[in-house]
Amino acid sequence: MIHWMGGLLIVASCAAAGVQGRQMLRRRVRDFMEAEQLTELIRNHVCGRRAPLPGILEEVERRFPVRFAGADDTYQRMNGLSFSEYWRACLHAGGFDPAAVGPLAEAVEVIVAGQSPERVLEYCSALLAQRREDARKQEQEKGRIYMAFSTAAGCLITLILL
Amino acid sequence: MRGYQSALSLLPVHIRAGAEGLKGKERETAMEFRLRRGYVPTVLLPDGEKGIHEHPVKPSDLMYLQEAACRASPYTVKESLAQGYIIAPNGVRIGLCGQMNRLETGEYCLAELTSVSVRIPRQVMGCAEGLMDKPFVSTLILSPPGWGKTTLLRDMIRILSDRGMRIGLCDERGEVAACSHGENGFCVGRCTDVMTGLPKAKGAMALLRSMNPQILVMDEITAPEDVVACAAASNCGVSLLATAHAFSVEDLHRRGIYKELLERKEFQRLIVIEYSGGERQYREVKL
Repeated sequence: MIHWMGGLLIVASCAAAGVQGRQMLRRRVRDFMEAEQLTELIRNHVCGRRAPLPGILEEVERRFPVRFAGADDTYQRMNGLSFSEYWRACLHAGGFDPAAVGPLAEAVEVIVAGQSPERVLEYCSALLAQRREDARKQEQEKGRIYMAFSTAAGCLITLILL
Repeated sequence: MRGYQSALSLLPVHIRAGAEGLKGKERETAMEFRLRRGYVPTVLLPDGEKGIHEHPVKPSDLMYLQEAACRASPYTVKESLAQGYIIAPNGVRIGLCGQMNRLETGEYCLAELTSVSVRIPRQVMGCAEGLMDKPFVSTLILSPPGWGKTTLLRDMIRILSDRGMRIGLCDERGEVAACSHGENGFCVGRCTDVMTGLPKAKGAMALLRSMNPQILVMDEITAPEDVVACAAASNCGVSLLATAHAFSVEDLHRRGIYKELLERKEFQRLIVIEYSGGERQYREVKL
């Protein structure tokens, strides 16, 4: 009986590892989707009404309260740090996938350096959309494989041990 | 001291520490901070420039200053950047100098910064009291750059406005009222309507149409369109108060656009700012 229970636990934990792998892939897709929404938000404020970048932080914090909690207040207290450095740090602290952080951080960096925000944000948006599609394909292809393989691996280990 | 603090807050942290060391009279009379690449940063005092930090200015210091002045958003000040200046919050004017590049669109952009000047704005309450004892007539204030035209103008606006005159202020660069987030950084009186961001000529026409001013104010008449706006206001029965870059009345007569203004008799009084022995004096000339 104990053997069977142990075997069941092994199968369950392997399946859980598979589920976690799949969740990770899904989270990546969600990260890219939120990064796209963030780009759109910045574009609306910057291109639509020429709002300064630091002024957007309040709205960003309101729309993404978990990822950017306290970002606006912290920036008000910052002294001597470039906005692009601060923005990059915020994106990392917000838990975005590194592949989503890159285009967003670089977009703000080049805008701060004087590039036209319209073109930069358009390019950033297109890049993120492309990466989101890649991540979605990966999630569809690998997600099921993760589940099947991990459950099968659990069964195999159980059989060997039994 | 508010203007001084605003100017100070734009400097890179290590240079700011040096500038904070200025005391008493020096702090009160400081006119500009000047940062030139490869040289020590200085403060401009009435008797010349004085170093405020031992290390030379690096390109990153200039970039930091530019970023702080435009709040990390150069696209919001694109037009003024192409003309070599930015107006930072609280009316601090930043002059930028360096390599300008011409873009395909025909616009110019600042590619490489080499020098920056941070002008310290001041409000000297009461500096215009001695000039305001008679009924107001259209007035033009003359002086070379940096001699206090805008400071005198600001105080004249405040006094007239507090006497109940409706003032329409075309503050194209936001230096006079230092309007930010809908609030004036400097006191310009209770009856002053401020139009910021529009070119002076357009701003003047908008104020004439919409705010029914008794006195129209323009800082630095420089373009023929400004002269046309002055004429339009004058024809509507509105008095004018403006400033111009000139050393003397003779200087004014030699320059085309001002000559035209004087010939049309748009102004009835000139105030010439003279500077001697560290003291400013105001000389009135009736036309």
